[in-house]
Amino acid sequence: MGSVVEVVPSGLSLGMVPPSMPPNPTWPFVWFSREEDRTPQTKVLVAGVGGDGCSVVEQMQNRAVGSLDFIAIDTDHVSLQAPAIETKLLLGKETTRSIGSGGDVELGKAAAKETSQEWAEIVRDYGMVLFAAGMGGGTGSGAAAHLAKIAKETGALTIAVVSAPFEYEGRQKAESAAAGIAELRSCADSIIVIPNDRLFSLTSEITYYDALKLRDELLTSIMASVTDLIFLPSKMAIDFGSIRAVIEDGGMMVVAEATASGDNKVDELIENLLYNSLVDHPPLEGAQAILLVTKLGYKVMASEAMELKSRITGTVSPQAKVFCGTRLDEKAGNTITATLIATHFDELLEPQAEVIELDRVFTIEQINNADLSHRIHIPSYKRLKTATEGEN
Amino acid sequence: MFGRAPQFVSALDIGSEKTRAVVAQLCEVEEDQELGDAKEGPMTLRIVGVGEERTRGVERGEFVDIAKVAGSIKAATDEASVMASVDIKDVVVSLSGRHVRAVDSKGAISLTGSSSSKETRAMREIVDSDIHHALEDSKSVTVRSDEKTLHTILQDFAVDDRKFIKNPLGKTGERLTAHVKVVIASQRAVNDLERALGEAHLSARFIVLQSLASAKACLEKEETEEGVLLIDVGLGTTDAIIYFGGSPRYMSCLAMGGGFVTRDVAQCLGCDIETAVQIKTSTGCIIEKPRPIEGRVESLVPEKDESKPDPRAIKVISSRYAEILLTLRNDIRRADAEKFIKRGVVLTGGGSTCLGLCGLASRIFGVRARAGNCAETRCFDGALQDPCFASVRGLLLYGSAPSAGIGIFSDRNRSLIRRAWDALTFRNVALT
Repeated sequence: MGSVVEVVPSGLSLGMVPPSMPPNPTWPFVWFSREEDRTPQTKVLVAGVGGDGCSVVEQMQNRAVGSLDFIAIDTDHVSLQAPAIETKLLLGKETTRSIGSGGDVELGKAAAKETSQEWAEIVRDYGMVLFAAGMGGGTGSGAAAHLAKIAKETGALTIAVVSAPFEYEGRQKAESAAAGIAELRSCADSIIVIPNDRLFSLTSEITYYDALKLRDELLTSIMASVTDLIFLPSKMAIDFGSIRAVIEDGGMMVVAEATASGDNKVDELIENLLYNSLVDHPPLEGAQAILLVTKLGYKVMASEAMELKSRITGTVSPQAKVFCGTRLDEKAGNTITATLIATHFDELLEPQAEVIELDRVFTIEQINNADLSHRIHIPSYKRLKTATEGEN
Repeated sequence: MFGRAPQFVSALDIGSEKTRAVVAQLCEVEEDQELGDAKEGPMTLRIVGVGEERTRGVERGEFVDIAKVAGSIKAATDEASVMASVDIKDVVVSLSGRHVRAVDSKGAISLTGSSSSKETRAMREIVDSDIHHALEDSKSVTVRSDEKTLHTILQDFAVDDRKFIKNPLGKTGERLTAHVKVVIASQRAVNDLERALGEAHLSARFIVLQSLASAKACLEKEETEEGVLLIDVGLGTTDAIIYFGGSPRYMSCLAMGGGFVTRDVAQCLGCDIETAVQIKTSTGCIIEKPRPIEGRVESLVPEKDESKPDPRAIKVISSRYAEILLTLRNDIRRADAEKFIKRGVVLTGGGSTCLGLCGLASRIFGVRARAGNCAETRCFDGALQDPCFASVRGLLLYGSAPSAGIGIFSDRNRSLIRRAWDALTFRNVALT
């Protein structure tokens, strides 16, 4: 059994609403239980990076609830015309001359660096930034990590939902995807990777078009699950603080959403939540933090809700932090919808790569012959390429 | 041939932080079946006295105040001597420092010259004296007047075109070449060491390069065959040595060690040195998130959690360690010796007792890394396992059985060459 942290709302919360009165849709959608979380800090931005990312964001725009902002980001101004997203950001006008990165990761990175200022200006107001990107191309693999880094530096919670290329797309794509994912893992708080090949595991009788569509839908639904947590009011509140606690520096992340009704709904939910094979993730047993939000119909038995909760918290290690939230929905009847976010995977299974890059590595002779005023006596920490002072 | 085996061996390791003296008693154990023809049976060492004293007068591996060093030596050896109730007169002592350099050398002799009939150019079998002469020839390295040859270490032989021959005895050919590694130290440093010992009323039985001593204590025989990098992280210096095919291929000494890490921590986190040492040992350089230890619940709310290591401290510590390791890696690459590191990296020395350093090393060198808890446990009844004692243990092993060495020949004792060679050829003893 994990230690269960029930987040007790303070101040304004739905807990004050009589149970007979379900949340009214005319109420403000954005609802945060804590004073500080109701500041504009908790605005959410959904950013699509590269061609794949933009099409996911376009879908997301059509289905999401809550006051989300969307932005399409690309290096190619032609493909940036296509998505019906209002805000657009063209990366690296100089570096790529607006004709795309041509699959060059370095070019994508350089383009992102060129447009750093504008991007920082945009993300400044947001408390959470979701990135959608397809890995393997130049823009997705190269630019996304840099953009995530800037967003994180402004204090936003950053989640990257990315897809890894199909195997047949070739080794070079796979390599740049792996590099992009590794970099994103070190820059973004949490990352979800969906290997495209996994989609075929559902059924071999899937058309290419359907597979891509499914992939986009999957990415969309994962992102929507996360944003729903914030924007849909809940009975046993999940506030932005607990979401932050789970997601911040979470590394690999798993998001699973499942709905079930009928007599065996708990078994069915567990099956769907824990063994969702489309997302690339380490065994869920290794998660050190999970967040479980259940949406219960009015006819759901209390014992069923308890069983679901205890079985899920029983899966993870006893040391893991468990956050639970509950929403009630009159229309749902005897249906349970559960959303599970798991992060902070056991690092023995999932070593998190952090790159230490010194601005310069001296030779042994230089160090051995150095006098007391030499640079080697300055702490190495201050000579890192990415030297950042005063944080943490 | 090793009749006058002393009953006690004393070893002295003068590090930048601690001076350690250890006295061990040599005990014979029953002979192995395989070594039936050997004159002396395998030895076991029982540690009977240990002395440890804070070193004074040493900075970054060099003696800056001989009188103070002598004082530390005296205090450490006295402590060990009292504990063991043995008078310590001569010690096996380690030497390290930025003045040490290792050069490749080869010595060759012609096997046809001695043949009387010139027309046959008869190739003859290689005999003992040929090997001896080839080894002698290999010592003709240009050593500057202010330098001294510390070790001449045999790597392998070549007979004509056939290379990597371990034992050329009995092979036939026209030319025998011996490849050796010559370790050269500054004469001044050796003099300083001898003077410091003299002031403490001691004499040096052997002077052994620190990394060779640590290697002897920490490495398994298979590791030295397959290729391994040993890094001995001290306070002021870091010694690195690569073994491949049973002999050292690369050696270096870097005047940067654990002391730099401590100073970085003190400087970046604004605390005094003692607190910095504590932070260093308790935090470590784990870049991976620490796995929650049984009984310690890792909170996700950082401000309320005391047990969670400060991420900034981790970064400060790991940056300096990374710098040390990266500097070594670059130098190893420059010497084209990275190809030898096949088995892995072994970390030892007082500065290596830092959490997560193995992980960092394995990431930087791309091979597995392990802590250098001494391999030769058989010889020590499991005593002094701490990596801090690695080099002193190695020194004891040298002192106890120099003939069964790894092909180390001290210049002081010429007859050792033969002994070492016998050990290598007849007894298949590489690192025990």
